[in-house]
Amino acid sequence: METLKAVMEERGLSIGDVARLTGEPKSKISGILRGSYPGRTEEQERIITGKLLDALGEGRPVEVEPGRLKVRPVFIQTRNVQRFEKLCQELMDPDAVLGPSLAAVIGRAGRGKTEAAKHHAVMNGAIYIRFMGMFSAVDLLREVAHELDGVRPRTTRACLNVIEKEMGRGRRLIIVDEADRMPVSYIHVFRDLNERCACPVIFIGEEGLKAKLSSQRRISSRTRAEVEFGPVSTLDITTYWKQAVGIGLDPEVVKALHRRSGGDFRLVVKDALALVRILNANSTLTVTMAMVKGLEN
Amino acid sequence: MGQVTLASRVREAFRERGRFRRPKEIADLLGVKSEPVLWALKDMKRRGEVVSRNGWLVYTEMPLRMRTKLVASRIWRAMRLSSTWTVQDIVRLAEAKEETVKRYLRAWRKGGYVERVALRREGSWTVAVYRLVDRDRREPPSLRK
Repeated sequence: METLKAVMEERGLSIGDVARLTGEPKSKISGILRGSYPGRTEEQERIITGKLLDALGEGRPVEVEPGRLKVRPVFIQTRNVQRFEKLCQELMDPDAVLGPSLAAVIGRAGRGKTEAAKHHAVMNGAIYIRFMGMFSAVDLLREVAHELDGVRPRTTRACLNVIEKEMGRGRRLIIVDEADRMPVSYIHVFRDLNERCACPVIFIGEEGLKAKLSSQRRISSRTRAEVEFGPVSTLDITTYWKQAVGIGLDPEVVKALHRRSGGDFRLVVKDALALVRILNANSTLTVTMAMVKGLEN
Repeated sequence: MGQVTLASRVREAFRERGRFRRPKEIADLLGVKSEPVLWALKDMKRRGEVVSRNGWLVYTEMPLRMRTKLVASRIWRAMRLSSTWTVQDIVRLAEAKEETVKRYLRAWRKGGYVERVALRREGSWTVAVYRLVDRDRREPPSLRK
């Protein structure tokens, strides 16, 4: 069994990275590395190393055969996704009813905001609403009512009654995607809903959303947190390749792929599809710099 | 008599003790290494069999039929969220096995709930793109229908 230190050094991971990937506290990891952890150090180190290798997709070896590689559909817990999940948990915490329970997730297109939101909605039963330009404020309320009770009442009052009744049975998180395209008055509709039914709301959008929310004091003062979806990291790319393709990449190759992607996860996936095709054609399991350069042509 | 798997032994341990703080406690009780128990718990959590509640690992006692319904609901929700999708998209969003998604897809297509809209090139593969006929339907149709 590899030691935690060896795994970290080999992959260039910091204590923070390990804490993020394993969900263990930083103090525990640094204690284990220094040898000052007051528990059963070896046992804990083995568990954390196992969790880390699992998170990196190296725990259970994926059967890979030259010429038969495949990009498997996997949902990667990137740094952005983990921050998003933490925000959702925080908002759904029963104590959050007392404090502000509006939040915003902001980032450029291609950073995985919508994917993270849909994944959370599917796995946790949150209400996911994608704003469309032709929607009126009542349409938005109707969509929420439909997701809660399967009905789309005609009037605002009837919609509110349905939402209030259903939220009273159990709070549900509402995620509003493409909120940067919504008029400010519609954002106030959700603020009112949040106040009336105590349902947490997350607005998702591109950079313009930030200015829109901060220009409204009534909204900004009720915003619990703003999560910025940053560009994908080299660690995210390594993890993706390990979990989706089942092979490790040379650090130089990872850096080159990271540069090419410009932080956009969709481009990482696109490159993976193209490179897997090249790997299969050459019956090899090693991605070379020449192959990455070949993608530019 | 069914095969005695590690998962069935973990279930038995939950029935005996009720709940556990850490996977290590289960491993100790069963006299096995922690790592396979971690894997078994990961699968059980994914299936909704085991949940973390206030720092405790708790067995939900959810019958198999309910858990199956849970997976079907996840798959259906994932299909509803996008206007068009591929099997791969649903596998990723619902964290379900590809065979399971394909099984539901076949049944729902046969029942007229899903239709194929196009074929898309993805790398060297051609994948089928589907859509739900009625995205307003909130509950997954029964497989028996």
